[in-house]
Amino acid sequence: MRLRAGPVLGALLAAALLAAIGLATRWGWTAGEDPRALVRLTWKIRGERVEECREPTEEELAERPPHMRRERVCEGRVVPYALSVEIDGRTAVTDIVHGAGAREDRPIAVHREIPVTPGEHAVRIRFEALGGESPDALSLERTLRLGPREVAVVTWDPDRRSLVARTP
Amino acid sequence: MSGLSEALAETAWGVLRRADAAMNRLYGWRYNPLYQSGALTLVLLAVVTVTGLYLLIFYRIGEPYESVARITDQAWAGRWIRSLHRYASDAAVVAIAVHAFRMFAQRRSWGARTLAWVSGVVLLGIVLVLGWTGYVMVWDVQAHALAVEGARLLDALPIFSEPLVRTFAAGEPPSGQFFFLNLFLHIAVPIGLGLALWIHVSRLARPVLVPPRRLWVAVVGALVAVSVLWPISMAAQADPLRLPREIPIDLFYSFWLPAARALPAWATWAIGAAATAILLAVPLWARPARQRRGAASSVDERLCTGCVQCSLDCPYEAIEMLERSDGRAELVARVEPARCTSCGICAGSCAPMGVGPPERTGRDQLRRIREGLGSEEGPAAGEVVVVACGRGLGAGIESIDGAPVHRVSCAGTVHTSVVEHLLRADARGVLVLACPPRDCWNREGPRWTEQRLFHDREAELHDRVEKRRVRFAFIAGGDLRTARVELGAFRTALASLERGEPLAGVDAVRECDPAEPKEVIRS
Repeated sequence: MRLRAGPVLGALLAAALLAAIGLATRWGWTAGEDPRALVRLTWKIRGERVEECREPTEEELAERPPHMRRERVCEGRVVPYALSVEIDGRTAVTDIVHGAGAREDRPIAVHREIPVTPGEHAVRIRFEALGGESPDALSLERTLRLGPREVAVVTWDPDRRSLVARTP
Repeated sequence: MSGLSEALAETAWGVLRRADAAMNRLYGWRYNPLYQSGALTLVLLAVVTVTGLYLLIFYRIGEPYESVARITDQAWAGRWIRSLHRYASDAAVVAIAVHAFRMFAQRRSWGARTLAWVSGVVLLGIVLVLGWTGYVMVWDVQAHALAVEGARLLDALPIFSEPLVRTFAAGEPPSGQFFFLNLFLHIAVPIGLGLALWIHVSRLARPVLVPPRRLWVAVVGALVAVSVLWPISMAAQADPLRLPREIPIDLFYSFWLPAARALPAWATWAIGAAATAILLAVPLWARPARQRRGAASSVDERLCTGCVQCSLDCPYEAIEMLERSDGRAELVARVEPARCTSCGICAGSCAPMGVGPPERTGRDQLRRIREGLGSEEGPAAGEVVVVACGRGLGAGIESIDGAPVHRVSCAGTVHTSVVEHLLRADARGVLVLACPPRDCWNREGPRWTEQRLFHDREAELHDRVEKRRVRFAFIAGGDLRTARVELGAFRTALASLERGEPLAGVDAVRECDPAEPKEVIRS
């Protein structure tokens, strides 16, 4: 039986399309040529909260329904924290971090990524409350050894109640 | 802008015609996958759903990577079904792209078809979201990249009070809650897909949701074959403590990753928003200039007999039958202009010629034929007249091998009185060349015309007409070679008829079988 060209070519075209789909579904993407390592700071803490309380005026009380009238009205916010990171004695990050939300009354979240060359690095991190009755301070001093494209994650450990570093 | 969009659409149509002609030569018009792009998409999504249900049985949100690895390690079913799930998902994106290109090139994206186009863009977005949530389920390096870059993009918006990217960057895998939410989205979003699909076809009468059996069996069979021969393997597990140099990504769903990694978040958002806006606005910028937009059909109520045929034939359910108030026949047709695409199929359905777009009713068609016959350009007696669709083979063609071409806006608009009139004017024969059924810009034109000519569909070709002098064929635009073959065969058959010889080349099925023929039988 003689094969007609049309169906044969059609089958070849279908095979080529499937091969293209097969290649496209496992396309090798070079995600990062940069051989540097990374120090990643990522944590969330409740933060030191300060409140300012006062007694509401008669007008303010009158505006509220009876079940929502309070003797004292307190507005609070999380105090800002100062973040400083030194790597091998040089300042890498200096920043003021505020509480989240429009009123700065939500927990403080930190997320910073600092590229470093592969190798050993002395890392010194300090995260200190600016203000408040008993200023909070988190710190970490460690020597991190990182290979190319490795990540050291500095995060808050709730069990130890301190910053810890996780490396590969 | 109108000139640019017109040039774009013309170029796209030129590419489409050539692709259609080539694929017709390979697969025949009945099984040309380009004609079935919409229905094939549904078949592929059905395959994705069925294989997904199997994978769901073995997936564990507490150990996502390990459970998928176990599935992949299952010889026979697991590995192949996972691969089929992936390949069918990718093929669905290809089918959607072909479908959208086709609709754009055929200018079926504006006016009454705006809802279909916009819902189609929404459908594409839903499919992409499904793909992203599906890939994140695996929690390999690609999943991690998708999650991190996606979170980074969301963090650029003033919505969340803490960086979402922290969820994937803290040195430990995300909690089971995250994978539960992701799995929930992956299963619940298809419900939105179903709703969007319902909207997508809501303005179509008799939407075709399933391609011919041979075609979808072949497509699914081919995907099964590639799943068995080239199964998907596991990529490396996601590790927030390492930055992989190479990540295998699926270009169909993760195409945006390289740009998102290289550009600032606002730039990625801007590009995505611009692309989405351009796609959604196609019904605005791709519509023809006002003077070239067809006007909606209208009904001459004096002529309307309330036979309901135009309402039945309308591919877009744009004609409704209402009760009369003048004591005449019970019902009268009324066209809903917002739904009417001015296809003109109603003109071919009306025996008294009482409905149709301006200048294209049955009466207008007869008038043009009479004017043509009286002119020097009109067909001389004894010639075959070719009636061809102006969007198909008839585009830009005045004659085929000496046979004059009478161009119509759609084969479905042809009133059978035109055919009768041509034969009475001593045309040797009338050859109607319509676009293949699934290629018709107006969906059902060729099908209705064939039934009107040979199977007594209103407005039927009268029995007094010698039907052996009428031939009908499906010819794709640009396929002049097949048109010449068809014309040659018709001329041979006519010669036999004129010599009084046995009926060579007669379509016995069309002559004798009142039912719609599945195959054309030539004796």
